Amino acid sequence: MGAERPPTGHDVELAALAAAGDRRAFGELVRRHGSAVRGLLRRLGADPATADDVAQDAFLVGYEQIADYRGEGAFAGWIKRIAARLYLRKVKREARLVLTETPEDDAPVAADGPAATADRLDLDEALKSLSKAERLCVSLCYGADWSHAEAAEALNIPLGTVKSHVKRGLDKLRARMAAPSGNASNDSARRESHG
Amino acid sequence: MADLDFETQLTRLYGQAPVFRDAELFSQQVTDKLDRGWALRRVLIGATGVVAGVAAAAQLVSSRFSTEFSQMSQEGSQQLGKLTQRYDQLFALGGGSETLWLAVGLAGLALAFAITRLMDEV
Repeated sequence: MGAERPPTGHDVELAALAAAGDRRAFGELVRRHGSAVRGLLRRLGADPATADDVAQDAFLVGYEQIADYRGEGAFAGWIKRIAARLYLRKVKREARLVLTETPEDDAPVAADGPAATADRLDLDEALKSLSKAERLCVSLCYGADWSHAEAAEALNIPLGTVKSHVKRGLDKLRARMAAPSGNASNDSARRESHG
Repeated sequence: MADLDFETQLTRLYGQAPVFRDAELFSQQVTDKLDRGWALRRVLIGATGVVAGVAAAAQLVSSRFSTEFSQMSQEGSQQLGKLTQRYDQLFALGGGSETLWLAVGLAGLALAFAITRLMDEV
């Protein structure tokens, strides 16, 4: 039956094989994208153990729903969306999600000079300077590729709140990572137009 | 790099998966869970088959089949012929007792299959 052959090929091909019941093919997808999913969950604010648990669940759900993935987008994006949804469900169930707080102007962001921080592009470090809500909203929109509207709906908070969380989060990240402060209106407009 | 749009850069950074030293272990855990789930599903299907087989056999045995069968043997070949004909029509099988033993046999076979599958998986 060729069960011993190492599964290779494009993600879409592997997904098709997995949809036909080939668990080894799905295992290869897990191997390829497991770290991305785990990383995203940690960036959303999950502690490592929770992130790994949710990531595993996401892949199990992904396997059940693999027939729904038809290769319209990247498999990584598809599975990340599942993982983000599962994570949100979990934190909401555990009533650990408080996102409607008004923004504090605390967490002063060290606005280092560009020269000094030119190489500091450690996203994970920079995310630590964000509030929980900002981190979640920014990571959903940029890590899981959700639109602002999708995030608002999933988080059950007003769209405007999501937008302000994202904006403040981006400002902090921009300062922290010392990226050029050139505007990013194109990308923002794209996300807003989703809503 | 300086010209890069910040949000594009951010999206790209998000797209870069971190490196986990236990990545292989994680994959293995997911694969194991998948395998376990699959095995459990197969056992459940097998068990359902056994239950259904046993229920079918019990229905056959507890029905009036056995009494009618004994009556048949007592009342002679004439009535036996009639009844066999009736059951032949009912079950579309060769003979009355064969049906019973076939059902019991199938149930036993299903049970044996389920047990070996269970042992295999566990």
